Amino acid sequence: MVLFLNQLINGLHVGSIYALIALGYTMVYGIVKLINFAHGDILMVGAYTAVVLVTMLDLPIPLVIVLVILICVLFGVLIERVAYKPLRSSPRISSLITAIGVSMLLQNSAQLIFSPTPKPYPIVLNVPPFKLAGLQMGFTTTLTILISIFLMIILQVFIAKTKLGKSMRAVSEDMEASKLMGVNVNNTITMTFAIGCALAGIGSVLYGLAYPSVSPSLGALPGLKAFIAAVLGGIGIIPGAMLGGFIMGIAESMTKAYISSQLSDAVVYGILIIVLLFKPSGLLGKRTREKV
Amino acid sequence: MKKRVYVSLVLALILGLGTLVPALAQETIKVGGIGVLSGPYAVYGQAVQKGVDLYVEQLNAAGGVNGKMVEVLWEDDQADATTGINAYNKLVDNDGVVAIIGPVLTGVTKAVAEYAADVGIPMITASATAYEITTDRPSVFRTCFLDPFQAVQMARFAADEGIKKVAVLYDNGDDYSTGLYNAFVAECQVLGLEVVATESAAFADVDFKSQLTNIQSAAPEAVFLPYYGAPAALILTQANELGFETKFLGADGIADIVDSISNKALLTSITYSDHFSTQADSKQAVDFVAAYKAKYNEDPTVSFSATGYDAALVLCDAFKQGSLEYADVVAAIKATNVEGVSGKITFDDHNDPIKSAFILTFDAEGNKVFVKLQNP
Repeated sequence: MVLFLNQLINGLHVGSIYALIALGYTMVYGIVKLINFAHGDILMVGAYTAVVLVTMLDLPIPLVIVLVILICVLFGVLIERVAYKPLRSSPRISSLITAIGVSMLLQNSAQLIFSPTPKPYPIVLNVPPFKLAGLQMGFTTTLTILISIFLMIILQVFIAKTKLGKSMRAVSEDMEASKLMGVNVNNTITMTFAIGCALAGIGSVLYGLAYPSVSPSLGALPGLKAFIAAVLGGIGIIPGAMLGGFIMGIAESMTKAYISSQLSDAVVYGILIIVLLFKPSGLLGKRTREKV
Repeated sequence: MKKRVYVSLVLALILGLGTLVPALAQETIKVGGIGVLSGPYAVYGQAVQKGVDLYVEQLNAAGGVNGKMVEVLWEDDQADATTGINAYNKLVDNDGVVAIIGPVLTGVTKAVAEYAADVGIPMITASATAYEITTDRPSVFRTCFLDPFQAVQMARFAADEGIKKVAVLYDNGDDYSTGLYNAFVAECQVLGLEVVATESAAFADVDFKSQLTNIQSAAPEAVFLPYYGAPAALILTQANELGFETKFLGADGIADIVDSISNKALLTSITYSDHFSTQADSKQAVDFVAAYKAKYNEDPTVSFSATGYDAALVLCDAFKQGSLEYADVVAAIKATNVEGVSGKITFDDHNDPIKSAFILTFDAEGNKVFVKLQNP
């Protein structure tokens, strides 16, 4: 029983990272109907930023974390303005291809600048785990789960209660009408990207603490899994991203622990397929019908 | 008319003399070198390259082989079997090399060895440790010990330390890791060590917490970790995060973990087998370390620089019998009996060297520390 709970905690840890990244995917999709494939690579950008700031500039860790978040936000806003904004009125497939292009650009640039040799993540937490009646909560694990849940709650409150949150909901529902109502759509979209990338920046620190190996393709697999988490929970719906992330993390860890590590990916994607067969808009998604 | 004849005669004379010049020049013995020189595993290929180049430089300075200089042409296989085979073809068909040193990684070497064996060209790998590479391949040799051998040595080391319960975490998508796992478990059965948990992870996984949690609950005294350094760094970090304190046993591939881990204090829990130690005290080893340091301004910390040096030593020694024909060189290699820097080298029926394993660990700063020499 204790082993089962410990494995569950492992699953929550992995799941919270997926959930954090999935939030970025889901928010961007909700507002501009674009699957930002480059989002996973923002994780990689954050990780390399930490490597550069710590090993080359020797800055103190709290400052590094703030700078990592800022730089991720900067990258996100830059990508949005340069690559996605000009294509807003083009067919959706153009934006999709551009997103893939940006992802490739980021990965290959990192490979050129930093070489494909994996580098160790420079921030290290050496705190022993808490043990409670056989249950053990590693420090990084606990920190990750708590921070993720905290951020998700804040985000929900932000979207529900603040003016900017309201404009984000408005633009998601109907961009043209929002414009007519005086919402600054461009700024709202940029803010959405900024928030999503800030979350990815925090995610990159939590990811680096857990898996301290930085390579150019670091963001590819977590990005893909986070996207699937977002779809699983209902793309465009924020609580859906959280739910999807946790389900995926737990499924993955449990499969590795009790079935086979080979099958963990297969099981996760299998769950996605089954859910979409019965609920195509995802677990928390609402079926939107086109009303003529 | 006369002028034209005169000019063409002079030209012909010059061209004729021109063709004589290469014939008068020194003949060089061309050797092909194939290794992983770029990418995440480049550290291994570059170590082999440095060892080989150092030996060849010393040899040429001392007069070469029977007066002929040796030249090594290097190709990068990028850790990919197809690229390795292309490199082999280029070296043999285009560049006309008479022998091959390398490749470096087990996977690529398996592929190239097949081609080399078909043609009978002498091939010596300094680092590929999988058993099958030299099976039924009379012209393929190696100067490093094998995975089955080092896995057995690690099991014996554990038994010598009084360990009774072990666990294994291995990569079942990798030939190197799986080969080591099989040999280790077989020897544990022979020695009476209990394997309390076996977990595997897929190639390129970063999260090992589930597997480590399972292993931890079985409470082994040591965990065998047949991984390369980069994934091993992740495993050690996650084990530490889980509060899992145990001894980790590794093989030669784990040696570069020191480059992949930030928390170096964790390295003291690893003991592993390797082909060389800079603290070895034989004359050959000491001279090698000094010469390496002088040429490259660093210590030969990656053991393959020593086995690479020995591969070049064995090959060039074999050239000394005079003939560069494949069969003659192969026969000469087979009869080798030299003191290499990584130990005495003679070859058994399987074209593997009969030598010892260095058992090493790390200190808290990440420096390699020699523990003992484990003899076969």
